Amino acid sequence: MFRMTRKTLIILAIAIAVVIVLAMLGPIEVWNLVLLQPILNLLVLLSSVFFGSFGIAIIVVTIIVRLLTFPLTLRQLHATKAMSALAPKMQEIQKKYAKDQEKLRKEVANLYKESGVNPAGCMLPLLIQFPIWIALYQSITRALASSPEELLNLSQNLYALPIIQQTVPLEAKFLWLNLGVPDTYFILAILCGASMWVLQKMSTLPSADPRQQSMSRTMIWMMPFMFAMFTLMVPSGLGLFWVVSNIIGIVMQYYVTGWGTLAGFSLAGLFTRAPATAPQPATTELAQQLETPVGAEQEEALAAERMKQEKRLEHGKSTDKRKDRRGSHRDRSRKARRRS
Amino acid sequence: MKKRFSLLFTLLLIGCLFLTGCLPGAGGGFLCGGGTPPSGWSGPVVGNDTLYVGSMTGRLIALDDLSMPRARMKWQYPPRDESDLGYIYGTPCVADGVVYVGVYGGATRDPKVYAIDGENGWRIWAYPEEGSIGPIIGSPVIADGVLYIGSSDGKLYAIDIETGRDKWWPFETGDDIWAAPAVHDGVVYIGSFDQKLYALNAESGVEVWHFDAGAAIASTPLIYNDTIYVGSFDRKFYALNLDGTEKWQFDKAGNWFWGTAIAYHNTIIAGCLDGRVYALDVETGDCEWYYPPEERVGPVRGDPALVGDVVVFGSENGKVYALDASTGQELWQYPPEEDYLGPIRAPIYAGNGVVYVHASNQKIYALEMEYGRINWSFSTSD
Repeated sequence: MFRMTRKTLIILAIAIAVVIVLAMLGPIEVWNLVLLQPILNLLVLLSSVFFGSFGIAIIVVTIIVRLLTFPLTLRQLHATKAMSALAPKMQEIQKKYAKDQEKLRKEVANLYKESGVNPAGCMLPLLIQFPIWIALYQSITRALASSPEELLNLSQNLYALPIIQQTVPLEAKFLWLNLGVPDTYFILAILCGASMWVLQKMSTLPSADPRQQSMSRTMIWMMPFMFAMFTLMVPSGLGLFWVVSNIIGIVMQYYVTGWGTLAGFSLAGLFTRAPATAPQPATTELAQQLETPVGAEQEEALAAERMKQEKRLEHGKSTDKRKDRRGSHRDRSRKARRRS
Repeated sequence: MKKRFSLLFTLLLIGCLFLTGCLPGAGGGFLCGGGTPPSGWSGPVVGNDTLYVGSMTGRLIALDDLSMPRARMKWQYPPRDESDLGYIYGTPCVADGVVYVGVYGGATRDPKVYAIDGENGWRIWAYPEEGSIGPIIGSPVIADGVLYIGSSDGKLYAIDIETGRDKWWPFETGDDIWAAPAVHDGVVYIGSFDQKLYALNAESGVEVWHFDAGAAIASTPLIYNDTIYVGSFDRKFYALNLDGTEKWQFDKAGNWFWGTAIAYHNTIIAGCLDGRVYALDVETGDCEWYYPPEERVGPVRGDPALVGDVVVFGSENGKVYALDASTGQELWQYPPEEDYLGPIRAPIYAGNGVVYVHASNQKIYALEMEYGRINWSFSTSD
């Protein structure tokens, strides 16, 4: 019989409550009520606080949301790092049990269990953050209300506070930008592309798998290019949000994983093909340590540790040989005794 | 490898578009955040047995045979083989057989004011002939041979209707002008997003006074019995004396006032974006009645129309309502039951026992005033 734990009960209760609310109000209404309207009104309120500057409001709200979702981002970063460290072992298992799918699944599950890694750990925090991000940039575009219809829509999403009502319509000018239309000077697109490239470069962990390497290379260039293109097409308020979000992402990434693959980066090597990364040791702990670039001194220390580890492994092998030899000697003496 | 690359690219593109909620906009560029694309909400106006309206396809349309079972297209400007004018939000204005319309602009045309011959649809002049002004949302108003129109560049323009040239140097407010001006006794009244209602000398364009409201003003002032009535985005409706001092304010509404009010005997009737129509006492601002008494209809943006003792208004919920102006009792609604026309944001025009409605489904409806039955409908998108 299935026994319900306290945690399961809480999750079940939350799920039932969500379903009831969704059924009663409708998904759009719930979305507006829970996510869109609070963020939208916060944006308008901050515009009022910061002397009517919607640009500063976007920056502040992006920082607030980034800080609020920091624990989730942190979990995601750690989970990704741990998953990446398991990759060599995973490849070994995949090779070994390529023909036996049942066994493969079992071994993979065992690997996750032994190393304490949850494969959903990478995706879950990301999935939880998605709605918040979507609501944030929906709020930015709605608050700007670039057309009369948009302003009409905005009126239905504002709280009845005088400070909020007085601030609308918002001032769309910020620095050289008109936040309601795309930046015609390409500056924002370049900033967006460059900051995203740095973030991608920092967050991409080195891999021994050539397929994964090729995928990472494509992503490092493709994502910044695409977002730079989007920045040229969407209102610059959204572009500003992406730039600020990327910069905060870079800072967070630096504190969690350091400069990542950006550490050995030089402008001269920007357009040259990077050599394939050397295969990593199978030891999970050591792999994790090696994947965290932390300065020359620590790299030296890690190299020394790797040497020790290899020596240990060799020592282990010679000990095993000795054991084997001893074992075979014992067997031989046992057989001789039986014969006599 | 190539296949994998293109697959990855497509997936990323779709993913990013989904995330940003961006869709290609009607006027070029992208519309993001799941909002509503611009389309325009020009109201109809009838002059010389012809109905003029700015269509949502960016053309000024003239319809005749209004009393027949089906109206007929007389002309359209620009003609079908030319590019459209862009979005049209202002209701055209007719004077001496000439139709005047202000245009918001779009992907191919700049915002301008056009004077079009009402008989054949030929252009007489455009203001400015070269270059452009800010996008126009409010309707033009003509008084003593001068056309007054506000623009999103924050300026109020006074244009000589004979020549199409400036009568006086445009008056600059602190923010966008989306309202239409009102002219009374040689004074032009105009509301602006800078939260002020301005009174200007109609001859010179010099400011006489201004009144500070609590938020932006997008509704056209109504002058009735020597009092100015105007609503604001601060959810208040103001009554001002002609010298700009406040007489009373009504602050029980649940959202912005955007449309122009109408006067009926001792009441001022105004639609509100909270989904109600309020009837206020002209002297005290007390609420005489409001419709609907319990539930709310969709936001009422367009101006209501008054014919005899009946007030007619359209709502964002896609329905037209007719009320008894003295009690607020519903007389009819069109379409009945669960059916709806599409959001009605354009002002209603009523005359000769017929109500003309321009709905967001790009159709003009002619409804019989008495019972709300349909006479004809005309699609402006064909």
